[in-house]
Amino acid sequence: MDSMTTQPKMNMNYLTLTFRDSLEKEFRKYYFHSSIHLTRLSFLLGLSFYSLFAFLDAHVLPEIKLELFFIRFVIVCPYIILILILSYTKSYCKWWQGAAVLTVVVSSAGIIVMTIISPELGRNSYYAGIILVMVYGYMIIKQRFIYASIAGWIVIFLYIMSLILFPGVDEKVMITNTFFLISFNMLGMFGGYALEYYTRADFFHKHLLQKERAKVEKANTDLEEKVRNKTIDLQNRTIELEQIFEAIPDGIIYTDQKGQIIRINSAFEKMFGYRLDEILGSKTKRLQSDPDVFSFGTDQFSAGKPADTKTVFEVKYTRKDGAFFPGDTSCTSVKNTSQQVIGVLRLIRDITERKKTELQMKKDLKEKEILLRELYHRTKNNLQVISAMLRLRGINLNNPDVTQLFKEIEFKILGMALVHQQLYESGDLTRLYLEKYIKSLAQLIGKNLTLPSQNVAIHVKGEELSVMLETAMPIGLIINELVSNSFKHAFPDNRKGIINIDIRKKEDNSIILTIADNGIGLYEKFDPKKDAGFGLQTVFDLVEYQLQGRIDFRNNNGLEWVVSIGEELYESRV
Amino acid sequence: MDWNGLSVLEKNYMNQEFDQIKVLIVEDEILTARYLIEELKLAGMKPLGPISRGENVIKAINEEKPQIIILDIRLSGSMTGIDSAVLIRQQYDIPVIFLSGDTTNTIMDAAKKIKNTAFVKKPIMFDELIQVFRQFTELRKYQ
Repeated sequence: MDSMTTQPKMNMNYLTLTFRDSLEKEFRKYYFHSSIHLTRLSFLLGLSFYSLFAFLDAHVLPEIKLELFFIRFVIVCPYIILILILSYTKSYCKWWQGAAVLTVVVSSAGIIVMTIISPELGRNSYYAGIILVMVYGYMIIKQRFIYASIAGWIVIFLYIMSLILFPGVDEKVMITNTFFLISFNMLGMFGGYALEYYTRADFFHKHLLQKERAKVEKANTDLEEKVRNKTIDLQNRTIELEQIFEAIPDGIIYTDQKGQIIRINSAFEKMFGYRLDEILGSKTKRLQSDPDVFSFGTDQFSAGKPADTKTVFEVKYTRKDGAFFPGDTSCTSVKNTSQQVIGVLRLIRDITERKKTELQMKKDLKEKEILLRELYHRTKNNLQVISAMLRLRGINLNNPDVTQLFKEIEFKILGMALVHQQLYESGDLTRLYLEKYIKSLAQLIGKNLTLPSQNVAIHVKGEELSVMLETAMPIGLIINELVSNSFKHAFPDNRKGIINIDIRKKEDNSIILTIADNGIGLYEKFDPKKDAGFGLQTVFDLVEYQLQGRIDFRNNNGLEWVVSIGEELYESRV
Repeated sequence: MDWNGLSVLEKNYMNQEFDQIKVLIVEDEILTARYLIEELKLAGMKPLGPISRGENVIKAINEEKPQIIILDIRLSGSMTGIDSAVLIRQQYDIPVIFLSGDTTNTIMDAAKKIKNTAFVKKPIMFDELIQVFRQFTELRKYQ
């Protein structure tokens, strides 16, 4: 694991053996609590040893045994017992190291006093007791290295002082004893150092371990939390999908790889009258009135092809009660995460109502068309009747001018009747082909306005363009007027003539109508404002006011009118 | 109605009655508009216009201050006569006489919703139009 290589180092003062960070406080606490029982036990041990040596006193130094007993049992042992008792106080943890130092110092001081008051044997050999106390202080009593060292050196100092202040010991013995004591103290320090170092290292690693464990536990809890949330999420998602599946108003069938039905939604149940248990495992073919029209078999799956239909098919289905209904049908393959097809969703929409409406709409539209055609037809007929009435009245008049006027009006009416005829013959009943209309209009005018002696031909050229009634009607009147004028004035004295009518559309959708004759033309000073008669004035008004266009004329081997009108001014009504 | 057959007395009476009242004509068919102009003149009114697009109505009112408006429902351009009347009513209370060959309920109802209006069917019977004018001018007298 990573932690093996990136294990953090102890941040420690290696002389005093203290952690430099907040760990020190924790360690002190830990060290006290882990040591306190052993400390008390070691007090008892020390007490026992200190007492047991009374037998040695009695045997080796019987002459001062009472003094020695006094030191042992009246000074040192009671002191240790006192500390032992105080170790049960609450504040002991604050001064227990000091108490230990004092214990070592007091016990050693007792022994030092014993050596001072002893005869030669005791004087020379009892220092060994100090060594025992040092062992006790460094190894057993759980003194920290620094305190044990302080205690050790105090004891050595006291011993040396006792040798100086109370001379009489053989110099060689003195040196030997001091040498041994100092050496032992040094060893003790090493031992104490090692002991505390390993205790601290052990603590440090325990601490690390604890931290790691906490981390792992935290990670575990987080993981559990995540798993729990994910599970709830998944459950919610499943419920959502379930609700969506059920809420879709189209019938849904879910089939497995074998093409067998495994799920349906409630819209399907309503649509077909089957419950799931009635058709579970059936093939969808069973629902179709013609099983071969549209079916998804297992072959699509085995070939590994997705069974999706890009388009919606209309399929005839059979209900449980045997009734047929048409359904818009589409299929979508359902894939697992490795893109294998695991089932097919078939969506069915009952289109019975829609088909009915469609049929009704078609019927309505047809009816409307028939009505409109009928209307145009009747309007045309009525206009023809009016024109016939005018003709009848006109024929019997004796005034040729009035007869001519009647004739002009008659053909204007017939020209309007033609618009209606073209409309009911046209495909969409709202627009008519201008060129075709003008051709028949020209034919009508040519046939009826030419005098028997006249030899004038009308040529109509133009592109196929369609306009609405509102545009065609004034154009018809304009042509009627201008062509009539040509017949009347352009070809006097039985001149031969040609009238060219040209109709075309420019790129900006404006329509250009040109009417040109090769007759005598207009006299030079003709002023349309002043000199136009009623008919021509009407033409100007129709172009400029009603069609919002322009009209120009020029003499160009005859008279040429150019009418340009903009885009159509009306929106379609039908 | 044969206007030329009216006696001088009748003409004088009408001239007095309508007293050069200013009538704005909004009609896209020039022949109908011209017919109206001639007839209104004969009846002693002062026809204004004609204009063919509903979009220009407000401008014409501002400039010419008509006292009555004759408003065709089907106009060239994108506005109908009804649209124009709604626009007129936002600023003016001038009486409006709608003209239309379309007398279906949709059109009639829409027209009725606008105050101070009357409806005259096409093709126009001039005496019917005169009756409507009378209603408005009578009303004016009493106000």
